Amino acid sequence: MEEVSRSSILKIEDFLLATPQEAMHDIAAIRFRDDILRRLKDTKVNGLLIDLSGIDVVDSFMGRTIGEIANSANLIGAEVAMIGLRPDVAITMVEMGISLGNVYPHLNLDLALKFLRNQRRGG
Amino acid sequence: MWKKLISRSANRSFDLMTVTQLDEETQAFVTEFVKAISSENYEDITRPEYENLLTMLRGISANRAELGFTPTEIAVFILCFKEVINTVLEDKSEDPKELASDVLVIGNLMDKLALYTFETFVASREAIIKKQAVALEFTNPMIMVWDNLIAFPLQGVLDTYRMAKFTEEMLDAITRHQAKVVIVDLTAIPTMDTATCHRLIQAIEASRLMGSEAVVTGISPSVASIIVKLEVGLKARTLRELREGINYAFRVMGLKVVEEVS
Amino acid sequence: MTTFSDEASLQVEIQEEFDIISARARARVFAEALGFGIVDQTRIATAVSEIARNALIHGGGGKMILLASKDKKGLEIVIVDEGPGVPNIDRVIGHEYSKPGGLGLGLAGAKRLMDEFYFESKPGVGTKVTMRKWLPSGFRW
Repeated sequence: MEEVSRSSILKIEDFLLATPQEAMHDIAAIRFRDDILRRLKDTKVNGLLIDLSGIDVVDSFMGRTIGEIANSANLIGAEVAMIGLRPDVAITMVEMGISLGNVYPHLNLDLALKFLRNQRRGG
Repeated sequence: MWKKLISRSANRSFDLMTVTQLDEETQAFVTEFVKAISSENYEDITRPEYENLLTMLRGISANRAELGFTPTEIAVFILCFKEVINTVLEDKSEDPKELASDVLVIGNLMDKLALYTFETFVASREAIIKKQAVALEFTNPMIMVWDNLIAFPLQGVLDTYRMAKFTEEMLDAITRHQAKVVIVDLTAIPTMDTATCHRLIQAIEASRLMGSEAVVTGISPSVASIIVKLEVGLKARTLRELREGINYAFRVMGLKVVEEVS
Repeated sequence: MTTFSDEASLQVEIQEEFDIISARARARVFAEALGFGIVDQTRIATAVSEIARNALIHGGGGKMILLASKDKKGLEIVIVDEGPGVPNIDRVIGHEYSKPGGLGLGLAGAKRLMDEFYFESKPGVGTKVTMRKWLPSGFRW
């Protein structure tokens, strides 16, 4: 089956915006993680924004992967913000006990960018 | 003629229903009525020949109950028909004694039908009122305090089912209104069981994952001890009153209420 | 105990990575068809994701069967594999298997999302997980 990855990693202002799309199986998720970390290193940005609006299921594997992305990003020197978590996914994650690690959730893109700009200033 | 009588008795049939609907109802009634009395049984409406007519009357009752008719108005529907029948009998009759007995028999029959309709109507109304009361008990009204600031003063008895519904409503509201802060006021909630408390803590955590800050106000000593026993911890700002919650939210959002100097 | 009929059932093979996604998508659609709301659909899809992954990674592959209850008020999901099995069920949702990537975490989570959860495993034979979820009964008096 042909894999058409609609997931993207874009540069926005001085940050990276990673948008995983749904139906990402494990291997693709790991590849996505590696792509993000590589881009983080190459572009030398101080902030990573993960947009989860395209994700309809976050299971323990996905949760772990996002946690790994966040931890590695922190070590590289970037703060990680998250937007777009769907209400039903949020409820399910909490009930399951899945944690995302060092990720700062925000209501929308504007607020997340504001946050990342503040972090960059050392605030 | 019947319809004219109904409108003359000044009930709201024509306001609450369309003319077509009233037409259909009166037509259906006449049809079933004629069928029923063709059996020559004018006394016992519990007999099978009246079943169709009664079913039809039940339908009319329920329909009018939903539309908000009063019990009197539905009785008038039948009683007007009585007048019509009497007029018809008068026209067709030649013998006054026969007319008198006919009117009596039909009168009794119509009264029985009217009572039946009345009773089913009242039963329908009660069922609707009960349903509305339950619905009200289950909704969680939301106050749009300010742009991006919402509050939920919870009321009534909270169980895990209601708490689960509340969680969904709250998270949807956070998205819809882009609520930076959501205040959950428990002043009217004296107590909760452990499972419900656990759900509340989960709801707060879910709201955090969506980027909103939750503030919980009015936690009673009873609820407080349950939360403490759960050991999971309520990760939210907790304050005494809804007012303090709003105050706090304004500060967090960089808003200030300033008195106008006139 | 309400019976789950084979009349409305669906079988999905779980033999490779992409099948996990298929399985949870199918489960979601099945749940929606039965009348489950969005949040319940996500709970079901997530539980399927966890158990299907276990079947693939620890069980070497298997299959999922979706069934509707006779009165159409409930959903049953059975995921079986013929893998090595787990020797001690009690330990699974305890410490031993709770390290990341292990069976425990996902199983415990999936159990919390469903109304009924049964785990049967025999070493050398395989593992079978049965999960059920019921439609909420609406207004309580």
